[in-house]
Amino acid sequence: MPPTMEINKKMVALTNLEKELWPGEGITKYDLIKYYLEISPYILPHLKNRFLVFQRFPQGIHGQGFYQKNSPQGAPSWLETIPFHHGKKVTNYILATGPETLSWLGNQACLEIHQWLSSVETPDNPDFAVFDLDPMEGISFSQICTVAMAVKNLLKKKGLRCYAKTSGSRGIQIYLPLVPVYTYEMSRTFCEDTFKQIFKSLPGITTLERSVSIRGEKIYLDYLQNGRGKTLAAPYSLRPLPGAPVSAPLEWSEVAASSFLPSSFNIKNIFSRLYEKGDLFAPVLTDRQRII
Amino acid sequence: MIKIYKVYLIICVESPSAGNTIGEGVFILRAMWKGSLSFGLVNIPVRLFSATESRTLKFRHLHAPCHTPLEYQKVCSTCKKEVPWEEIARGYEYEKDHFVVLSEEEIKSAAGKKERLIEITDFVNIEEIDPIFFQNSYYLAPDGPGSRPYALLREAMLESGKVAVATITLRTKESMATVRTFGDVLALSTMFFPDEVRSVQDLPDIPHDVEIREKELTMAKQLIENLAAAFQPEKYHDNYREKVIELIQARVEGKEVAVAPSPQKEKVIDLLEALQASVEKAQGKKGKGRGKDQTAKTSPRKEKVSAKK
Repeated sequence: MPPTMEINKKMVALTNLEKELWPGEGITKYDLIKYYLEISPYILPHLKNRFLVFQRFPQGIHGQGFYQKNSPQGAPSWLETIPFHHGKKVTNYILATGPETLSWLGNQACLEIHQWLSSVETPDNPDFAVFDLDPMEGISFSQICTVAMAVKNLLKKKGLRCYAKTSGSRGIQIYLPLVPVYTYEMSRTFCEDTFKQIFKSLPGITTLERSVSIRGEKIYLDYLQNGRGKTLAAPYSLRPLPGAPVSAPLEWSEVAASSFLPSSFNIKNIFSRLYEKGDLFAPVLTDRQRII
Repeated sequence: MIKIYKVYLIICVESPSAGNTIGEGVFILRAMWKGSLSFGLVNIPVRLFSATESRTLKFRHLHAPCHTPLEYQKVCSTCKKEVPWEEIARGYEYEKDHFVVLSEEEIKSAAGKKERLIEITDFVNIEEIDPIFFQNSYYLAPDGPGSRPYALLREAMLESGKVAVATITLRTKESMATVRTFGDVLALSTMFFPDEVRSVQDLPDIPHDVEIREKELTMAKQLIENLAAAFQPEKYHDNYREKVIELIQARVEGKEVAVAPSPQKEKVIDLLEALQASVEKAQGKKGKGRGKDQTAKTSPRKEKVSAKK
């Protein structure tokens, strides 16, 4: 019998807790599960009723990671899943229903949680359009903030409110919450048009070039994540990078002042920020807007 | 001002975890590779397990004054900073200080589709293969439906007395290999390619045309005869290793041990118990993700859990 713990009346096996998942940094599976338990009130509303994809690193962040969509064999019977048909293939997606699901995921060394942009209720109609600012080498962080502010101000002119978070790596992602009535094609076209205007006003530091090799030292304006089945790191997802950074929601005043680094928020310090500011991404779930 | 730091190095072994005898590793049977063994038109799904393990004692480097295990940092001397994983590229130094940088994808794609295949090309007599070619040995176990064809190949090889010569790509290294029967299992040994075996041509002082007297030769052969025996590998031990273990064991028993200062993990007191507080906070808290006055406000407790740090 592996050691188990009762969480919300569900039995969760928690094993090998001293395993270092961030080798050399002293961050173990124990720390990961503790993080999931404590972040659960903040992250769960964002994961609720959403298809999720997980990235697992059983050997730690320097080992080989792999993506997991399907609920694996040997998953506990209480784990809730939802089937989704991709053509003939059926994937049983795991639903994050409570701290017990997150703890179980932690025990599986799942370090990264990716979410669809649409919910399971309306898989073809996204709940948000996402403007992904992906910096190439040689771009400074204040330049990313400049572009993020340009996106924000352009949307503001159209009477729209948007919300920014760090990708947890080097970029910034801007979410525009939508009433889920548009198709992915519509949200993608909307982002594309917006980005084209941004590119026109900031051609020196941005690019719409899909091919990585000819992008140059620019910020890639990626609207192609707006598609069914495409995923982005969820807010408060950890990233399998040194320092255990967290994808952290931002205040626009912080972006305007570029008063932080994308790696500033991590598994250890995110809670003091949450204590002070609450969930800055909460409006993404409620402030649903119309684009047409 | 120039500061000179003196770093002392001493060498120590890590204390064994409870219940383990010093120097005894725990043998975990974990497949290190999955793929198929292809043999004519037959594909046998197999898993690959390491057949051998080196028992060399591992010492860690400590900072002598405080006994803290040393960490290794990858540092860039140009940017004067520690380099995070995502900033590391792989370069081939084709001449001094000149590199060709290849991405992981490019390196992987060179391995091609062979990545998951052990492809048997010939069957030969094992006597034809000089042991100098052998590198690492692995056990092969059938995977899922591979059981019957595995047994078939094993029996056929046993009866024919032949061993298979194959190619295999492990990670990004392609190797020549042999597959043979080893008791009830099939064993695979990777082999060096012929151009990896160094030539003997330039070895110094190898005698060639030396006249040997018949009498001497008879004596030498007699000596060999006298020592002729069956191969008994159990007779041999790593005496050096055993001596060092004895030394360590005595120190552990006499409590003459060095303990790393605190950022080192204390032994898991009960990590489950330590998580209990977090579980209680998380339970039943549906967390509406509201603003500043939400109930989750009490969440970021400042106290340290006793089992850590």
